[in-house]
Amino acid sequence: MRIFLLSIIMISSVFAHRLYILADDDGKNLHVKAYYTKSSFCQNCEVNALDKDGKVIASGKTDEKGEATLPFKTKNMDIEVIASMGHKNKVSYESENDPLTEDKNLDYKKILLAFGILFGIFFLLKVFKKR
Amino acid sequence: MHISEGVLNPEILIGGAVISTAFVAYALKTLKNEEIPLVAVFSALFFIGSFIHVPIGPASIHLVLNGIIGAILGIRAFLAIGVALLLQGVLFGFGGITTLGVNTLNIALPGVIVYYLLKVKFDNILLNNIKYFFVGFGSVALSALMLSLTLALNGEAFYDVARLAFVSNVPIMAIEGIITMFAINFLQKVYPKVFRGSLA
Repeated sequence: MRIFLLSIIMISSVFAHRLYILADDDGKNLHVKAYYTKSSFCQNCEVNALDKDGKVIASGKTDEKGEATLPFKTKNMDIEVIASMGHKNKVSYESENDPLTEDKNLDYKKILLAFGILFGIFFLLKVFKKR
Repeated sequence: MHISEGVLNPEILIGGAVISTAFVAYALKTLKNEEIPLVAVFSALFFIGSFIHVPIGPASIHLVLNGIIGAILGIRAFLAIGVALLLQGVLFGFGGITTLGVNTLNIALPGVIVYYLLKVKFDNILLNNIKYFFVGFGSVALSALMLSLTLALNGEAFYDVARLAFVSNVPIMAIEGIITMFAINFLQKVYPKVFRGSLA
């Protein structure tokens, strides 16, 4: 009976300290929330974003609400949260968004396109004025 | 400096479009064939100027360059700025099609005004440099004032935004003043013919 009660206490203690991770991104930043229970947040915990080879691509620390914002660098990654007392959890994360760097390349193409249109408009104007 | 789509009342949009169209039509009518490459180059300069961001504290502001463009092109600034704003609206969502008239008027008209200011002659180098500074400073200040007035005309709910729009442009007024002063001095040395309408 004593062993049974002790086990129950230990199991409940393990569940009380289970580390949960929630993540979301907007294509620019990765937002991570780490918590133990609804009212107990993983404060000042280390957050790492890892690529498929396990290499750290971004890292940060959680605030008093257990939230951290990291730069969003790849669509598929693992998110690892390391707390004190050896608490640690890792989840796989897959995003629907492409990282912003791809958009930046697109902007340069758009700028070149705009220059082409702009000079095209004035070239047509010159042709028209010549007549 | 760009007002986005869906913000202004239709009467302001129509008024701005009508006035800008009249200026653009006059600029087109009086435009000489040999002036077109210069207008195209300054249109491209205005277009790219919006992508040059200057960090100010946590925010950033971008160059307008309507002073130097107006000082060189005069009324043709309406053409250069109108085409650049059209492309910025269509390709990048800066401003928009419905606000094109209002935005063109707010940015190009101060440029045309400083073109005439540049005609005022001084013998003193310092006074001339102050004038060149004011070409850049004054054109952005006038544009910011017109932007604020446009927003204020939209209704009482926009008064705070109008005030903020003017205040947030104060740093760029000073920056453009300095850039314009150096640009005019440089162009006067290397290519004075470019100012044939205003400084000659």
